[in-house]
Amino acid sequence: MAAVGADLDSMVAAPSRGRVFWIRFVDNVARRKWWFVLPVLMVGGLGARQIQQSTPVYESTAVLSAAWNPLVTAPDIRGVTTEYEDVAADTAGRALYERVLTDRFMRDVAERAGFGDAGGDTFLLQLIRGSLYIRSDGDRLVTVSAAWNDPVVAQAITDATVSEFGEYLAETVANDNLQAAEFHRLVAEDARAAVDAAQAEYDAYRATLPDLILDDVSSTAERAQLRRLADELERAANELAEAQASVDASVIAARQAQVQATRAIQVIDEPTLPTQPLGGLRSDVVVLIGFVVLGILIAIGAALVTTLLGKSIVCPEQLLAYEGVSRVTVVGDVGGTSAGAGSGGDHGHPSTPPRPAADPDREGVPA
Amino acid sequence: MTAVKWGRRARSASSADPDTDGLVDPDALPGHLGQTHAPVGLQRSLRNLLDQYQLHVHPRPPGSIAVASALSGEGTTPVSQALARLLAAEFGASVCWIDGGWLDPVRQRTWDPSMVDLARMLRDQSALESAFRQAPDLPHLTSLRPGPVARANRHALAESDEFGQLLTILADEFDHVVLDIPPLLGNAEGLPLLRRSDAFLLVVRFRTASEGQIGRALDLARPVENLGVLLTDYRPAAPTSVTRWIRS
Repeated sequence: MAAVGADLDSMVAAPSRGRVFWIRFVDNVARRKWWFVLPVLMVGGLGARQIQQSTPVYESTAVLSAAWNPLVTAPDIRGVTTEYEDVAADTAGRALYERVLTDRFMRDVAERAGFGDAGGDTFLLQLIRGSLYIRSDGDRLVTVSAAWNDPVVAQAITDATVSEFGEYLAETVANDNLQAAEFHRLVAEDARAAVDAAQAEYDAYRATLPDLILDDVSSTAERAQLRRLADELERAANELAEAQASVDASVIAARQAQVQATRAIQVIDEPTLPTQPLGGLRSDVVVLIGFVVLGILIAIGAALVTTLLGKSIVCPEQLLAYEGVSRVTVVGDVGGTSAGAGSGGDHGHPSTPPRPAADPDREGVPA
Repeated sequence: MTAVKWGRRARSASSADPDTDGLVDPDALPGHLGQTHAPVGLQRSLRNLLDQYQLHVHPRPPGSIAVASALSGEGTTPVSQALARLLAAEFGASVCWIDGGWLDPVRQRTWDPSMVDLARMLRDQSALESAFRQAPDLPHLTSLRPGPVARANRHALAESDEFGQLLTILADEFDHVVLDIPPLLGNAEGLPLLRRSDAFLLVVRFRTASEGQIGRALDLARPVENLGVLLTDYRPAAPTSVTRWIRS
């Protein structure tokens, strides 16, 4: 093996430690290249196995249109700019998201989606909640997506979420009017009772009088009493009519609010049954590349650590770093050990020297 | 020890038929210079080292050069033999190669006990003269391989004045003396030989000794001038183009 002194002639004295490190690093990687390729192959194999074993996930998406948020009364803004006002899609999406956070809403969704009674299964509710994804697109569109390893279930969850939200909106916006209707119904019942009482009193007094024509009643007091009871009856009847009218008005208002709510947030795209799982080849390639990169990072880390821990002489520059050493030359196999014969030929074929015999005097030589 | 005339007398004595003086055939001894064919690469590297020394330090290589290593098995023997051969062949100098194996407990186990030990050499001039061996192809090249020495006597012998006088005489008689001494770490007996030299050449085997061991070996040899460091068995795995780019 020819000497490589020519390279050393161009070396400068006191080489930098960084340069020496990178020479050692490159030598370490080249010498143990298969050991460093191994983690890349292993981690890449893990990635491929992960891809192979991963369950395909299907996503079903519904798109809603939010004209305004029926839950929020439109502010009366006059004479000022409305730069910071939330758009309808944001408020509607936020309202839906807040509902999804409640277990009551998720129980209804789970029941409607076909999971049965999931009231006590908080883990299932959490799974379903985690499968939902809500986002607003622009000013008016709200996208609701559900991902599941079964396409039918994914569609059912999306559909159940949208439906339950619609019912929630309808109930919420009509709640005040429904409560008002209930109130007026109670008032109407009281008024009916008052009418019945007045009627009964009138009939009772009328029954005490002889069978006379009213104009022939001899006593003015009796005539006044009869008129007073009639007025009472009429007044009670009027109150009853008013209460009835209020009930009707409240019910109409509730229905009107519900209709407006359905118009405020409408389903544009019904949740469809997904036919293709998420990801695909591109996603698999990205995952595989990610694993391979991880393996490369592990290999680089291992190479750096082994280089840092290695203290043997692997390049002439390491010897030049010692004080008093200004000339270093290299040669291949010189043949033999200090205990044996030189075996190198003139043609310079390197021969592997025999391993030195165990030297008890060497024991205890610090490394 | 009686002052004697060495050099030509010693060389002429060693050129006699070794079979007639009762010693073991030197050709059968491992490491005999006559049997050592230094690889071309090794010769080239040593020549490069000496050229750099002559260019930057002194036009003439040092008189006595110790070839040492931090650990055993680094290849100091073939390197020292090649250095001696190079000095004799290309510089035309008279060179004496001295084997320091008598200080190395490992090598002593493989030696022939009939060899003349150093203590006897220092007492008996004829024994010393008979211990010299001349290289058959290089008349200027002579080797001296003392036999085994008892462990208890090694250090004292290495530090003795008689041995120092022997080295002095050899340095006067020969243009260059090349000493192959035992590893510096774990074996202190080689240090006296090293410190009696004008310069030392450190032999380091690729990917064997650690940086700390090399540092300690250099610290032990510090008073002596460093001729250079020879990195042997150099087989980098990295592509040359990459390392060249890093170095640039």
